[in-house]
Amino acid sequence: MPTLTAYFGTSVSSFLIRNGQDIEFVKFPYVYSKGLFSNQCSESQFYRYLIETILRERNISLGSCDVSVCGFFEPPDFAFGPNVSCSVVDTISSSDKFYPVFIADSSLITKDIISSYSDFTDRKSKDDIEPNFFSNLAIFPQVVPSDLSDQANLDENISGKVPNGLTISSDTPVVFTGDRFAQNVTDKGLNYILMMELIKSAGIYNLYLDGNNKVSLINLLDREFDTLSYTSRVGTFINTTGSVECLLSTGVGDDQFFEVKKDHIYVMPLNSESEVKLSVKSTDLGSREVKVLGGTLGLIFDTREHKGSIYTDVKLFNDLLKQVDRVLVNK
Amino acid sequence: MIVPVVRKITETKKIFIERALPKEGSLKVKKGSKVEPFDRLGECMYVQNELKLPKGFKPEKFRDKSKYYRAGILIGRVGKEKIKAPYNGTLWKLDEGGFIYWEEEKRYVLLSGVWGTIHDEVPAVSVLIETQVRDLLFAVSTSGSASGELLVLPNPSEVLKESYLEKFSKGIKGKVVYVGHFIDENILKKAHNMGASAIFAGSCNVETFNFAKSRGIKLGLISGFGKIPTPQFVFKALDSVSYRYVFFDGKKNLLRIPIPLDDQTESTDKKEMKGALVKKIQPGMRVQVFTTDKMGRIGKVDRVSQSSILVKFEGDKEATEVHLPNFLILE
Repeated sequence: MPTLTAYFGTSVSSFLIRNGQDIEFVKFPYVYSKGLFSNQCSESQFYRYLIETILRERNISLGSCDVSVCGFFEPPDFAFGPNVSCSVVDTISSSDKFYPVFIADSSLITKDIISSYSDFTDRKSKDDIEPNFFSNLAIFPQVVPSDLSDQANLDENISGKVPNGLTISSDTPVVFTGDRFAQNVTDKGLNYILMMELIKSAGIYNLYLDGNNKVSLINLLDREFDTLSYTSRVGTFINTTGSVECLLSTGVGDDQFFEVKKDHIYVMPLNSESEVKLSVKSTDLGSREVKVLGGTLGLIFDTREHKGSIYTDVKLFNDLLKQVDRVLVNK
Repeated sequence: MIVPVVRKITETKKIFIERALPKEGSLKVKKGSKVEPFDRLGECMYVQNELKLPKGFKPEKFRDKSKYYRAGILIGRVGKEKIKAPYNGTLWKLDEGGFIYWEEEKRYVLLSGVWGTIHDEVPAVSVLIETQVRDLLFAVSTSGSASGELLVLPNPSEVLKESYLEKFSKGIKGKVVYVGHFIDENILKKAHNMGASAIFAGSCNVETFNFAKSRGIKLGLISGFGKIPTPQFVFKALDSVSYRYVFFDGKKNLLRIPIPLDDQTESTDKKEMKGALVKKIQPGMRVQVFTTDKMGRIGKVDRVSQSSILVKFEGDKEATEVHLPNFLILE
C-alpha cells in the first residue's frame, strides 16, 4: 500500500510518498491563509485537495493510501482520519540519532526547547516600509523576501528571539530543518549564516541542512530510516574563542597545517567524500582530533572572542556572505 | 508548477442572514415569505440618537431628573458655549454624574436588504432569511460586523477623496464605505466620525490598521498593508453594486453583497470552485505578485520556466521574472 506523510507548516507544505521501494519528496511552497482562501474553503479542505492532487498526479487515490500528517504546531483536523496526526514538536523531539534545530517563522524547536512568538509589533523596524512588509507576511505567509536585506532582517529577528543559554549539542550531527530552511531564499548563503548565528557554544559541530522538512516526514514514516542520508551535509563548524591551529590529514601525504587568527569567521571548502583527519588546537577546545567529511561548505571556523550577532556587524556579515557564496558558486 | 488560486470574489448560493430589530416590535413577514431588499420586515419604536454631554455642562432651566426639549432650543452651556437640542428629545441627569441627551423614540423600519425567503423567526424580534450573496474577501480585517448601504468612492487621489467624503458627509452615516486604493489615518478618522458603519479600502499602513483595531472601527483591506491598489476587476464589481445594502463580517474577512437569485454566474457551483484550489500555472493566466518592488501588482503570465515565471504588467515594456512562491493565480 502506498504511504504518504505530510507536513503543513507556517510557509511551506512538504510531502513524502513511498510507493514500493520508491521514495519521493514533494515541496509545495505555499500554505493556507485565511486572508487568501477562507472564502473558498477551510484549512482542512485546502490541504485535503492538495493531498489528492499530488496523489492523483501519481495515479494513487487517497482511499488506497496510508496517510500520516503533522503540522506546526498542530496539523489540520482532517475528516478522512489519517493514520497518525501529530504536532511537529513530536516529530522533532523524537529524533535520537541527531540533534534537530527546527525553525519556522519566528519559532525555534529543538529536542529540549520550544520558543515561539507571534507579535509582529515586536519585530525590528528600521523604516516605514518594514512594518507593512512584516505584517503582509501574516497575510501572504509563502512570500520569500526578494530583497537580501529583508531576509537578513527576518533571520536576525529569529536569532534575536532564541532563548538565552540555548545550547546546541555537538555530540551528534546537528540538522537544521523547518520552513525557514525549506524556503527558496534569494541568496542560499543566508541559510548557512543563520546556522552559524544560532550556534553560540564552543565545540566542533557536524552540520546538515534539511531543505524540505524531511526530518519530520521521515520520522512520521519510519524512525529507523537513515534520515541524515536524505539531508545535505554542510560541513564541520569549529566554534572556538581565539585563534586555532589545525592540521588536516588526508592520509595520502599532502597534510595541511594552517592557523585561523582570532576574531574571524573563515570558510574553507572541503569536498572530500571520504573521512579526513582534522586536528585542532585552541584555548577552549584544547587539542582535539576529529574525523570529518566534506560538505556544501566544508570547514567553517568561528574564532571570535565575543560572539555577537553576525547580522549587526555589517562588515563581518558581508565578508561571510561573500565567502559562502564563493564556495556555493563553485559547487 | 502547481500554484494556489485566489478568488477575491466568490458566490454562495445558500446562506442565512439574520435581520433583527434593535428592540422588540412587530414583524410583518411570515415563515416562507419571499422578500426583496426594500421590503419592510418589521418596525419598532427606538431611540436612534444620543448625545453625551461633556464635563462642565450646565443645563438651562433644569430642575428635575429629566426634561423634554424641542430641536433648536437651548439645553445648556459648556463654559460660554451654548448647546442647543440637535433633535426633539429628553435631557437626563445620570446617577453617576453628568448628563445625556436622548432623541425621542422614533419609528425604526427594518428592511430586508436581501433577496430571499424567510426561513425562521423569533417573534417580534428577528427573522432568518435564506439568501444568496457575492462575497468579497478582505486580505485582513478588524473584527465586528455591520451592515448598511454600500457607498463606493472612486479610486482617486487623496485630495479628491477628502472632497468626496465632504460631499457625502450628510449621507455617510450608517453606510459601508469603500474609500479607494489607500486609506490614511485622517480619512479613517473622518469617515468614522461621520458615522460610517464600516470602512474598507485597497490597503493602509499597519499603524492605521492598528489604530482602527484599538478604537473598534470596522475596517477591511482588500489587498493588504502598504500602498497596494485595489484590483481593477474588484473595483468594477463594487462599483456595479454601489448603493446596495451590504453586510460587513469582520470575523470572516468578508463583505457580503446580496444578489438576486437570477444574478448568479455559472461558476458559482461550490464543487467547481473546490476543484480549482490549485492549478498548473500557464501563460495567459492572471497572477498577483509579491516581490518587494511589485508588491500586490497584478499581471499576466508571459512564459513559464522551471521555478519562475515571466510576468507582463500593464504599462511595462519588458516582462519581469518572478520566482516561486512569490505569486498566486488570481481569478
